[in-house]
Amino acid sequence: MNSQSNLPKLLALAAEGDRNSFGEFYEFYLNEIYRYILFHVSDHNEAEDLTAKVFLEAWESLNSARRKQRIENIRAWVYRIARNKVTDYHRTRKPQEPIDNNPDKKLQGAWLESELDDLFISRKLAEGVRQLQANFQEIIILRFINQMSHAEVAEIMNITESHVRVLQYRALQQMREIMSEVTNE
Amino acid sequence: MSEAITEILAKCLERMEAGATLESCLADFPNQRAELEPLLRMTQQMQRLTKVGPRPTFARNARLLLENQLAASEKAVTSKRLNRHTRQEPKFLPQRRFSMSLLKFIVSTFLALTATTGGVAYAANASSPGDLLHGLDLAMENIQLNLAPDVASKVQLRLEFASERLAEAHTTFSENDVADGLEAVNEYGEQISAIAQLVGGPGGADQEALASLLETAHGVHTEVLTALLDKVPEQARDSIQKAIDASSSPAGIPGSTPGATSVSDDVGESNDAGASNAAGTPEAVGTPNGAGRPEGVGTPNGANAPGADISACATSLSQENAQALADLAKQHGVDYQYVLENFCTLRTLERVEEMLSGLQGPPTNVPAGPPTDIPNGPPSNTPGGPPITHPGRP
Repeated sequence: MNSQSNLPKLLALAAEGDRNSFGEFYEFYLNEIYRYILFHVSDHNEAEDLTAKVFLEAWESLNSARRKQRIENIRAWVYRIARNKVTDYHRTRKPQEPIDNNPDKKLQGAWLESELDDLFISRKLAEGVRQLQANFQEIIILRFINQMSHAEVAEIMNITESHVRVLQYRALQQMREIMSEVTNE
Repeated sequence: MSEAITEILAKCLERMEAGATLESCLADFPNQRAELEPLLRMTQQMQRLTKVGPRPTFARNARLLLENQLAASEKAVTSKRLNRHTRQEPKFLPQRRFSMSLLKFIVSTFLALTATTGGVAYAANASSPGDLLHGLDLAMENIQLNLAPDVASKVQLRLEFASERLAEAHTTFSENDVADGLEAVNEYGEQISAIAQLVGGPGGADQEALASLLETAHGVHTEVLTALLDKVPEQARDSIQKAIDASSSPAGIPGSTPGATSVSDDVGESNDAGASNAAGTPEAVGTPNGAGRPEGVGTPNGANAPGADISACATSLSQENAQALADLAKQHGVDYQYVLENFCTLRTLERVEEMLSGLQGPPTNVPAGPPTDIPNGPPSNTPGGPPITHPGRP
């Protein structure tokens, strides 16, 4: 199992075209990137496809002749690619395509290592996350679902830490309001 | 003071992330307690979402597929240079919104991967029969099946599970663990049996395409099993051969195998089963037969398939289960006999309910009483239920 400290080495090898090293890098981030995308798109098929595209783009970026400078923050770099993919996904989504609001279909196929009760509550929470406004959704996913620090979130979202703290507070408030509605339905 | 509370909230969260308790944080900020507490509790609730991850099949095979895709994308780069106007974004996996041709492609690709030695070894990283986690794996598969929105998705999942069982069989036999290997082969048989039921049912899917898909899958399964045959000890070969027979002639799949064994061959009440077909029930619907589930496959201890003796099953049915089956038949607007046969095959009420839900979706316009064209309604507190007849499914 690779640790965080091995990642720069893996990426350096991947940049030389070592697919196996990139595979290890991929495995390290697969779960969290998939989770990040899933909570943005609410469809595990789309999440799997987008996750794959994120890593393909990462690979292409690594191997691009233009990439000369070192990647300072690997995690933030991968997340930024994922973030762009999610943005593209929402932008290219056909406007007339209805958003599935059936909570029973949320996270279909998503894998929860928990019991059925947990699954039920998780669905409600996931539904709540999906109803948040975009920047609040981003904060909640990064901070509480993918458990990133204020500093990491600030870097990925390209905002200050104090701004993250303000958004975090507002996002939790909105989440609380939504959850009280969802659970009372 | 919302600015102040944002900082306090952030401090509390950072402390909790470092291991402090929620209570200790609230104790330090008594004036903000009312506002802080629900927000902090919300963050604790959300921790359960950190467990969400990709489906095991995807997770297990993703790296292998990615590395293949990377190789393919390198070729694509060459093509791009040749023709800039035909740039196509490399796709790692096809879209899985239901489309039979794509589904067929996915399954055949997946199976082809698992059919190779490397693929099997890769796919076999999951727990195997006998492992502590194996029961949990199977329970999770059931959750996935419950979440699958339609018959096609269920078929796809069950094909994946069947392939996983084959991979597990490969691994366990390689480790000379005959008992667990046989259990994996049995579980493979259960999946094939369940697929035959799903495909035969009125799920609104393209039956011919599904049948074609399954033939592809069975073909690959047969290759894997045949390879396995040479590696297993003598005592396991009989079961493997029966599983090969099952995969080679996937009866129960409409149009797949001319002369496939009809349901009546294995079910105790054979004549009535024939009547069922005459009444419009797809051949072998709901009753996996000998070819779909070979003797000794899909049942622990190598016993005959549970569906092989409906009469015995019906006789031993508890009053409670008989009533539950009657309720299910009523709820889904199908005849009691059909539900009973499925219960005898699938063994649990949950699986029957899952199968019925998968076939028909949520019940609508459910008649208040038993269907009027069913001569034998739900059981009247009689173990074993009504006499076994096949009035046909609605």
